[in-house]
Amino acid sequence: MDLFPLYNSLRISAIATLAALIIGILTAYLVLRLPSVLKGICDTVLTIPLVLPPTVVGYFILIWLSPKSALGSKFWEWFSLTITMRWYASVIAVTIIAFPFIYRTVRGSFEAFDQNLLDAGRTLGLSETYIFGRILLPNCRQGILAGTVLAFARGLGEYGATSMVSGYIAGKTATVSTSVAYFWQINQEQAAEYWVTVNLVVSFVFMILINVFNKPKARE
Amino acid sequence: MLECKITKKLGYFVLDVDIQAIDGVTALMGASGSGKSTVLRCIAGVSKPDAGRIVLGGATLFDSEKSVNLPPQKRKVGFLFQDYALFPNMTVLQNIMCGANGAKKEKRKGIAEDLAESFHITVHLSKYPHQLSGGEKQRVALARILAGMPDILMLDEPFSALDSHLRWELENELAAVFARFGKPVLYVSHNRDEVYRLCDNIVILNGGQAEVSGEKWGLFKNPETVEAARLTGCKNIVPCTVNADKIIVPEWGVALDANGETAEFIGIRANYIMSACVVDKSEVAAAFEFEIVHEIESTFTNILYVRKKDTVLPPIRWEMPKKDRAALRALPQKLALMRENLLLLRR
Repeated sequence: MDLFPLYNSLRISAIATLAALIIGILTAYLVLRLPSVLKGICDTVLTIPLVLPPTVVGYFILIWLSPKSALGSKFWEWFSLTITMRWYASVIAVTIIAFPFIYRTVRGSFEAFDQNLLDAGRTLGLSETYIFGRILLPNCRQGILAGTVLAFARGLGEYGATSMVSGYIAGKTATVSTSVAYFWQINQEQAAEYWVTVNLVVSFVFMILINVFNKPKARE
Repeated sequence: MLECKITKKLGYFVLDVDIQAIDGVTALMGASGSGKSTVLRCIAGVSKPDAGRIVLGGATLFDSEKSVNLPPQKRKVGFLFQDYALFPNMTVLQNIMCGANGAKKEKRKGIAEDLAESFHITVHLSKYPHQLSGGEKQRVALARILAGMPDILMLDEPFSALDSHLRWELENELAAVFARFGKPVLYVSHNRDEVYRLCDNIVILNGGQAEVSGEKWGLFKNPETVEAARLTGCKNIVPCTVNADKIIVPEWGVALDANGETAEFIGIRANYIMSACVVDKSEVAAAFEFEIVHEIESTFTNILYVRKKDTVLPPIRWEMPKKDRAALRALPQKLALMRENLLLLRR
């Protein structure tokens, strides 16, 4: 059996999660330092992909990045690069969809973190970069990890935006979730069933991982 | 020398203080919400005053008129947080080394190890903060602060997180640290005994204002304001009125000679009330027969709640050693308020 869709899904989700992780942590850190009104606005805008149907995200990506669009045509002109209907279009879509999962959990653990520790670091003369990287991040790793696993799991199962921006091209853009739909549509029920099973197994493994990471911390 | 004249608005609360601290230990006393911690935070630079000036040892840390606002990293301020704020992801050694940042790694390690030795925490160097007791945490936090050789030490209620049996030992250690430090120390507390033992000068904060300040003996002897009297432990504070040459104290049922002095409130410490039979009559401001409303036996003292005989006035708290209580039983039930012990107070 061809395992490309599984490989492709893992690849897309892993890259997208990494991107969302970096962007999510930095945005959470910046948003927390904003004045409260601006913080509320940013928060709403940044969390919207959580409630939007993924097809809307897909729609915007097509509008802005397809070869006929203003930005997409420039990519073609300058780099001879087409973005849509390629596997990496899914990376962009999944990054946007996975972002709020990381952003919200990370912001939550930053907020719960004892601000006195940051102030203590400052009065001890430690630089803001050191405080961020060596005090804030390590002490929030539990929350960051939980958000990462959630985002990765969400990315693996992404269908709506993925199918819009990358379509289904066997061996090129097929993912575990688009495979199920594709094989069902062309009446290959056995293949559809196979990919359903793959999805079930992968989801099961990730639910276990999520539960492991979300276990309440043992009392110190 | 520290000069701190700042204002800061926090909602309805307005902090407006003018504090000077010379070398030696200055206590900041005040009820919770009086602005003590905010003052420390502003000096450390982790909160920003709205206006004013903070000068430490000749260096301007903050000046709103000249737009000077040094970041906390540049202020050389040693700030001991109430819960010590040790970094949980670092060992004791790494925590102390954080305080000595700027130097080379080997040198930082040397500084940290020397300090650990003087604080008797060498055996804990590879432990994490959650493996330490409260007292050990405090020692680590102090070592970490001193590693940076600060120009001022600021301690925010350093004993509030500790069991009482640990306090005494740590208090003596702290006194030794203060003596060696030789620069200004700001000590926030509302424990009057602790302050009396550890500090040289006292600043009383009330509602965001530095109400009274001075050297400790003077301030305990004559607190001047109701808040200062309360914070230095005076239990009996009541309103009074001045009428011609008399100070009338309705709640005690007495009138005293004013001798030209004036007061809105009058106070007497619970352990300064005397039996009228054992005092020099010429020094007595007022004396009256009393009745006991209520009596509490404490560890080493008895606490009597007394009032003028055959009245329904609010009781006065009177505290005395147990042997004095035994002696009092044999004496006529008459008490005396001595002139030198009365605190004439304003609001």
